[in-house]
Amino acid sequence: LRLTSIVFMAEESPVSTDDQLLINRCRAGESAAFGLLVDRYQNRLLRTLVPLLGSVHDALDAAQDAFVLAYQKLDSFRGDSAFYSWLFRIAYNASMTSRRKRGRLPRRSLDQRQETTGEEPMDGHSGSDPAARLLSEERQQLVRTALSELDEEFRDPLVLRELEGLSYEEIAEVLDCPLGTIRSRIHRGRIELKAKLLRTMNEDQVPMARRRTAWESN
Amino acid sequence: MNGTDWDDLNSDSSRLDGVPVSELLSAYYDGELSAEERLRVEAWLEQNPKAREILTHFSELSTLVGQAGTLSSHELKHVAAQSLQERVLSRVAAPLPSARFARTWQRWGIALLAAAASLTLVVFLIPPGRRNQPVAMNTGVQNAPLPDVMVASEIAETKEASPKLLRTAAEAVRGQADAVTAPAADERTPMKKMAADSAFAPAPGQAPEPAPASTPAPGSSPVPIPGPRVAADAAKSGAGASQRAMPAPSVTAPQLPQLAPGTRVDPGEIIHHLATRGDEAVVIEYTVVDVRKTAGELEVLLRKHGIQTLRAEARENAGDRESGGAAKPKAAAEDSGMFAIYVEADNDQLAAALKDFRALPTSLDVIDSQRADKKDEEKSQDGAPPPQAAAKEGADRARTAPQKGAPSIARSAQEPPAAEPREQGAYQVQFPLTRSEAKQIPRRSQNVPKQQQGYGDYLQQRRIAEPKGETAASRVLIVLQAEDAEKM
Repeated sequence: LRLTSIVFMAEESPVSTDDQLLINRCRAGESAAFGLLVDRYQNRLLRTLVPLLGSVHDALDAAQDAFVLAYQKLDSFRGDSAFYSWLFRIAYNASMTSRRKRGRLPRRSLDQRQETTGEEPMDGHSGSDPAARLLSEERQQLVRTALSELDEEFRDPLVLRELEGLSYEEIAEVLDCPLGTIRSRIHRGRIELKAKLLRTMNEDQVPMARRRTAWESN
Repeated sequence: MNGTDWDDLNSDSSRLDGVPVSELLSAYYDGELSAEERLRVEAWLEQNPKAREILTHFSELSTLVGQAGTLSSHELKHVAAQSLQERVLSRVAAPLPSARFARTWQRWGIALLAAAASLTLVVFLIPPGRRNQPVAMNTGVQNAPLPDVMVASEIAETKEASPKLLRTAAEAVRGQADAVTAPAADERTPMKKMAADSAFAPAPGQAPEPAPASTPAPGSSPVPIPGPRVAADAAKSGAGASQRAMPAPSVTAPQLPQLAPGTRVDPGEIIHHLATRGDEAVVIEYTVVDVRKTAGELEVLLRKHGIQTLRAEARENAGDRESGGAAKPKAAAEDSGMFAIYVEADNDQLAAALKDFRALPTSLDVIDSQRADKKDEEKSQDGAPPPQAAAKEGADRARTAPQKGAPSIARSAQEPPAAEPREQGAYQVQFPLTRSEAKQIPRRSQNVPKQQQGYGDYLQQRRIAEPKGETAASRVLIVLQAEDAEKM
């Protein structure tokens, strides 16, 4: 019976015990503990920031700013939500600030990125087949490019929905928009993204074999 | 409308209740329609089965967007090369403002405390959601000597009341409505004596302090653990008067000064309260502190001693939890009057950690339920000089490093002459395991490093553990208690 009670209490808090421990250590003056939180959440954060900002470089900068801000505001974290949710809101605001300073997202093609990094596009999620990896990588870049061309009022709610899995209500809270507006924008974002993907594939003269996606049936 | 073209679905002719069908389908795909809307869309889909294809397109689009967020291997290498962790840590090398101020004052405090050692301090916490209502207290009394009433005879009574009160507290924490019964009036004799003392009695018009009960009333603290109680006698301190420290779990909390509605009380603030004690007027000085950080320090110390913190949390009202299921976290954080830390450890291990904890200038005062009686005996015998410096330093640190929005924890410290007067204000409650529970406790021979053991792992081990021994580790709940504002 006592154990049940403890289990119940463990489940009712949105902040995981591990996160809370690290936060407490930071509050106790052990700033190095924050590094563990960075390590824990950086990739998850980047996964959303990259499509939002259009490049890993910018996403890294935004993530860095977000983590620093989060650390500075750690005393104000009340545990009302999961630490990541709180962190993400900071990161989103930081990325918006970064985006406003920088202006519209640059469109980055595969060639441009290859020139920048000197690396061949690779995708670690497509198995060992180089052709499949290249196709997957190329498709990934096409989608990123199409997303970067979307107006942010459509892109942001769509990315928050698809990559962060936020509910419409949560998105409305993050973006400070009415719920109906969010529903409409997500829908509009999908339509725009589909249209841009089709157009981008045509413009880039992607070989027919690579263009055989579900979109062609439309 | 038989096709699946999105433009068709967006046309004026394809609307449901004035909304484009495709927009409704998009929300339907996301599971964001109301029940009524969902039924209408499903009815429409029944009539337009081909339109379901668009849901498939939504799914494909989701997959593509998801892939856009996936970092490729070279991107992951780039991220790793950038070493975000190091970049962040290089920018946050300085401790948090609260910790930084605390450390500064920890250094300067020693000198300051030596000069101010004769002051009487009382330190306590308030819950953040009740900033205008002091919620916990300990008292130091200035200007007037206190009647030396809390002496050995009452301590003896306290010893009898203490175990039951401790159990009451533990049961209340667990929300076991039927676990215990409220202590009988005669069992709370020391409390009553304290309450009878006008310095601790409620002011006219104030509600009397409720007795500890097995079922906390809604809105009240879930743990009616009595507050710390030390009647400090500054006037007698120099003369080596006997210490009147009482075991915290055995006495009721003194009443806090009633503040005007809307009065804001912040950590660090000192409140002077004019009260009477017997026939004498006394000034009671309260210092409000915030000890969420201190709770963090306790956890760090526990870890250093190899004790895994199973759970640390600000607790909401137990009654709310029972009646309303999962309480809203925000409400829990704001209304909590208690901070609980669950650990499982050997007594020696825990005692060592708590000993270090007591040495911290900002530490919460800790009552060791098993040693309280011994300490009382020691106090009554030797009357050793107090750790005034530590108490003052703690107050100074709190005064200079207020933390907004932190959970409240009752904290007390005082500077009257006493042997370990800081043994007040927080509570370690050990509740014995039943035989069946003891059999579920995994033995340490399972070679699972506690430091690496997550709470889920711990529970899982409890479920699957074979009964291998008759003895089990003590499960300990350390409760840092703030007095309920309603009690003021």
